[in-house]
Amino acid sequence: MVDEIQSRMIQLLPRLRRFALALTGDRDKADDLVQDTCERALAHLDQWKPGTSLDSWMYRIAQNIWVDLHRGRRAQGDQRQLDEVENLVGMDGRAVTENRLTLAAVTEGISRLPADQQVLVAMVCVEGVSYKEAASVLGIPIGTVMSRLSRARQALYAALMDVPAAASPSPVPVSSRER
Amino acid sequence: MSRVSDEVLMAYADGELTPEECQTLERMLRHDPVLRQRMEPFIRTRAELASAFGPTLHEPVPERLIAAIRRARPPARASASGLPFGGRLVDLVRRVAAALMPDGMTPALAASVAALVVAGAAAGWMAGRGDQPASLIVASGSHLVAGEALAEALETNPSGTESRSDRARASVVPVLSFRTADNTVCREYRVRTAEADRDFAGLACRDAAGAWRIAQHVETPKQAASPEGYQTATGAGIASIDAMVEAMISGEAFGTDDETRLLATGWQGAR
Repeated sequence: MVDEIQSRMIQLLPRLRRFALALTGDRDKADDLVQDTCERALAHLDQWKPGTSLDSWMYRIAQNIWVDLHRGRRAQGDQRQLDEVENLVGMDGRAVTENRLTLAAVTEGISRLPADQQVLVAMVCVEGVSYKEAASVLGIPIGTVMSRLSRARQALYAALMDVPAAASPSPVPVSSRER
Repeated sequence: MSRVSDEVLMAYADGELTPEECQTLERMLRHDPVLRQRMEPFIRTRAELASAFGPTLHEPVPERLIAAIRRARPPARASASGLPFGGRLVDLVRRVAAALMPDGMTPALAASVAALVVAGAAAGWMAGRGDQPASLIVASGSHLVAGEALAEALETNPSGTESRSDRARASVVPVLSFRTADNTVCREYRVRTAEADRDFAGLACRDAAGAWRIAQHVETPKQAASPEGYQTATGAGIASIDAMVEAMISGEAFGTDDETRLLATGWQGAR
């Protein structure tokens, strides 16, 4: 029933908001994106195939809106006010504790990526979506997911390490890898 | 010097390698500082992003987002503006929707159903004027119900059994029977017409008085003359019926035994 789908969408909101925040880097813009996503989903409910993943379908809609919004634009990072970034990171660049980057620094790094890479980074690194599911959401081969994502991660890493407060990367023992 | 690709290193950081692949790679990593360095961006980005955005998940969701979902009215599956009667059909859709409401549907679902009923009616039933065949669907009060030929097939045919009506110049075959959460029996059907270049598919539910109320009735591309043609029917109309069945069905569709028993008792055992 439609009521049930609406309930499931509401349950999905926290994850969609997190996904949208990773893309937009701004809470209000994230909520706008989530709202657009939900409205578009409900308006095109006939396109969702019952029995398939509602999550994937909603991610697909959200990323479509996001990528459409940034079509023809490489990335939005350079459009952001520099002083705004400084405020976010902290004037002395010391707003980082325990060797973890702040949300602001991370979103700044993401904002420098092209939209199609942002989407992959947000899906895989933030939402924990598998390569296979990401490929299905985006309708691209898994090999493309991996090559695009690895390029995005290398660029993001370079941007993050550029932040003064990022501290020196400690050697990463194999056993402590993130799963 | 190993030739491990960036993608493989990343897949390791993301937990996408098989245990065997992990072991092989870990052996190489142990002896290869350059490889470890190449791995660093992937492990680090994943860790940083997961930790930076993790807390977002536990923030309260703004009320406006919940409200946006609650107030949304999914539109009709068939666009009223695309129909021959244009906007005037919207009123009809509303009336049919209101009529369907007592069956325990949400207004939104009822409206989408009604639009399809009207779409199907506009295309097939309302065209049936003059010396046209007996109507498959007739109006009964504010409802649309199965006409004689369709009703008889729905009432008495096991799924898969086709019956031909000369008066309606059509063959009807129920293809699926099931019950809804409130124990209403519904059947999905296909109609093959003798003359028109279109066939039909639909969904009807039996009301307390024994009438088969039409929940959906859509045109489908002309089907093959073989009985198998019923099974291979595709298209947007069928997809919308599938979605509707999916939304209404409670449990599994009736098996042959259940259906035989219900047919024998005039569907009385369903309640």
